Amino acid sequence: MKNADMDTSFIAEALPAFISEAKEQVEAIEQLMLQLEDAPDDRELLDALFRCAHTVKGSAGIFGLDAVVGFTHHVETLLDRLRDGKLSLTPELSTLLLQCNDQIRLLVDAALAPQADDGPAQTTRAALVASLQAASGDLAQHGAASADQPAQAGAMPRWHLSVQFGTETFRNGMDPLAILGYVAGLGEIPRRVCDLAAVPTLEAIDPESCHLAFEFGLDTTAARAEIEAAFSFVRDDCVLHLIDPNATPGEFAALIDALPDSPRLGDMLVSIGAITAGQLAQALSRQAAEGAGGAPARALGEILKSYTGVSAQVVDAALQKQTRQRSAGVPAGASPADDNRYIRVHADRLDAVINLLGELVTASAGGLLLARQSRQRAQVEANHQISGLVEEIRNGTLQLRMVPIGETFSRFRRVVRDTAAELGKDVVFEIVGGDTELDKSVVERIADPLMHLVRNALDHGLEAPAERLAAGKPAQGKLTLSACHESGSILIRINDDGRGIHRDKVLKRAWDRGLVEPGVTPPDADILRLIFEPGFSTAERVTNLSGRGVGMDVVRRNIEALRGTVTVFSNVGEGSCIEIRLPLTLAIIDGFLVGVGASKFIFPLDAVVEVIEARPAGAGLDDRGRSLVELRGQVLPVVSLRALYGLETPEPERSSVVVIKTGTRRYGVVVDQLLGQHQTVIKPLGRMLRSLRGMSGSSILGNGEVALIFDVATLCQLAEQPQPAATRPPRTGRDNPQFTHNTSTEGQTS
Amino acid sequence: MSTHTLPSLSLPAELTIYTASETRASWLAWLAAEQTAGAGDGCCTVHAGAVDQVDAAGVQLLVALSHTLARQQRSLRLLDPSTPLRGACEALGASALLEGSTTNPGTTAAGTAAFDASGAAA
Repeated sequence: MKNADMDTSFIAEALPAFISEAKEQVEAIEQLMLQLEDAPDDRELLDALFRCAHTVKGSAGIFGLDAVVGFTHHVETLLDRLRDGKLSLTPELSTLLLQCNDQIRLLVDAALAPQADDGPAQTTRAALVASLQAASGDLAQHGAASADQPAQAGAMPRWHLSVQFGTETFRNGMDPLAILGYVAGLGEIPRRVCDLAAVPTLEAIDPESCHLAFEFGLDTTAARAEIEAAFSFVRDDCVLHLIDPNATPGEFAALIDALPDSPRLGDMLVSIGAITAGQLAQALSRQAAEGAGGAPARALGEILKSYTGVSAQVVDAALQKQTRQRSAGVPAGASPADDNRYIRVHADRLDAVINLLGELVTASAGGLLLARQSRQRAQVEANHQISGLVEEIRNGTLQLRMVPIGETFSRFRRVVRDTAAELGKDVVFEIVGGDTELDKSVVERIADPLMHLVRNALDHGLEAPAERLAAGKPAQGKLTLSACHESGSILIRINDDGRGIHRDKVLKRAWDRGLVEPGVTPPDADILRLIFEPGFSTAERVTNLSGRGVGMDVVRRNIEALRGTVTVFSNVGEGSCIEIRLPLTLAIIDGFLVGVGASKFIFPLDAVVEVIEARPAGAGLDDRGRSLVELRGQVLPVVSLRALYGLETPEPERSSVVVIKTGTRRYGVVVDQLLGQHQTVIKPLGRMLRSLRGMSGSSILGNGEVALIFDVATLCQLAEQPQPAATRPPRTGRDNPQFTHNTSTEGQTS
Repeated sequence: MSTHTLPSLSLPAELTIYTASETRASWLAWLAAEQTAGAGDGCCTVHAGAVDQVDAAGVQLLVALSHTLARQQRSLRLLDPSTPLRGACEALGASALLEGSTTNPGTTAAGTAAFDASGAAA
């Protein structure tokens, strides 16, 4: 049949999408599991967890991935036990579920390359399935029993289901017929009725919209969760009410009120025997009578409630239950609905656009410059307008690449959990500022260094519980990962309250390894930076996690490759803090263009606080061009670029001080000319210039000139550095290991 | 398909979401043709034996057709509904559609398709 061919090609096309979505689900399962560990009683988390597993299973079924379906089924069974409250989540159980989730991930990956599913993995899975079944205990028997039971249907509880399918049901590829068929498989449907009146006439109907609503009873021993699960694929846009077998007429009344759009609901309920015709008729006539009296008619449910003499309390409870049910549907509903508003775009296409945009920014700056030179007002205005639009496009496009860092952070929950367990440490992991956004390519490349730092903190930083207690600290260690925006860059901090870094040990090791001339004691802060030197490790014991001395130097290199810096702070006995400062984006920034003599420089605009007029130039500068000025009663350190970089140009008559902020500090930079705001496409510095201090990159101006871009943090360090004996600064410090490079590696921007 | 010389309407073999739009169009055309021909009162008999794939969208369309006929003071009568169609109507609580239908294996006008119960719910 042609349908079969279509199916095959459809599956081949859709499989990659399934895999990427399944991976997201698996990721979500992991996060939910970890959250659930902290809040084992959170019903919503458990429900969301179940839905994720169910979605993976269901969509794997569509693609005929039997291994995924088979394995996930066991996981689902266990989750269902948890939902029924027949089991409670123990740490062992959650470890088991996490391991199973890893297997699901492997199975999903194997869907693309089936031969990759080898023997050992199958053995692991078999063992996990055995543990799952053991954990679920007698559920298997329970399930078998419920399957046998329909024979004695008379004894079974009767649920009432009311379901309105959403208009998009058909278009989403769902068939109510199949869903009702599945529900019927759970037990027996004695009577069912479809709200036929809700279907428009042939002239009016959109044949691809669903107008179907059903009321039916269901005799089953299945749990609420199982019945709800039948609707999980349409849950987002269907209105489902599930009424307990032992519900009162009041609950049906509430149902009637809850569905004001189905005027025939009352009749339908009567027709399937949920309420009696007498109850309904009397309630209806009373409603009519009250309406005729001029007063606004009361809701039917309300009348039915008072008529049937059900206490208000019962009805309130029923209403609340429904509200809960509905709100429980919301979290699951919210995300797929949001998903529909996203378009998946290949990252390469986005990169191509951003590259072009870089050229466009440069070209439009060139155009503007030419227009100014031509002194034709209309042309200048037109070019201004173009520049404005280009800027908007630039901001919008770069925004497309921004992703919250929280996703990356939350991946570490699992790492912390497993690593801490392995090391016998008790650690609480906190994430702060997970919604801080930064460029996707930065996020991707910061994950590995972060992983290493987190493991390091767990392994070397935090102590074992006994040691902590002995030191007078709580047994539970604390590891915090935080992120925030700060003057155009993002600041990521890894805090632990562990033992801190012993400077003596670090120094001794550095002497042993020849990193520092033996006997020489650098300043404190510099000693700490030694841990980022190649071949450095203070671990007394090599573990499989860290401690081989590879890593910290790689971490620093990776961070610096992103034009970032890494700094470590530590107090012995109180813990350590590692600060990573990264640029928000690797491509284009808003810059502030200044000139010194013939040279042009750019500051990131976010770092510029204000500009003040400088005192008569040259006054009171030391030989590295540093001095102090008073700014509104505060002392501001000032550095002159001319002196710092040895630019041999005559001093201008007037100069300005650009006030820069980095972290909590402020300092001034003396420049000759202020050339204003400039859209800056960052180009990496070449190999020759990479060691240039205080610079993070270069940019080509509209007229083809090259401007160097300052890295404000290192420029600040440079300005603050104590006088080295008779050396001029623009020289790299091989003799000076603590010096922080801050230049980009070639090829990683652009 | 659209040039009916006033034979009675026959349901297609596939009465699903995939054919819903074209089926609706052809039914509307048929109704219009019937109206201009001045025929059509009382019962409207529809051959329903050929249906072998049906889903909820198909049943819904049939309900819509019955509503339209009801507006014209007519009723829908399914002639010899196939097993899948019967199954679907019953499973969807739309057995009303089947009321008055005849089961006469000898008078299948549209040719008997191989009955395939796969479309019907359990």
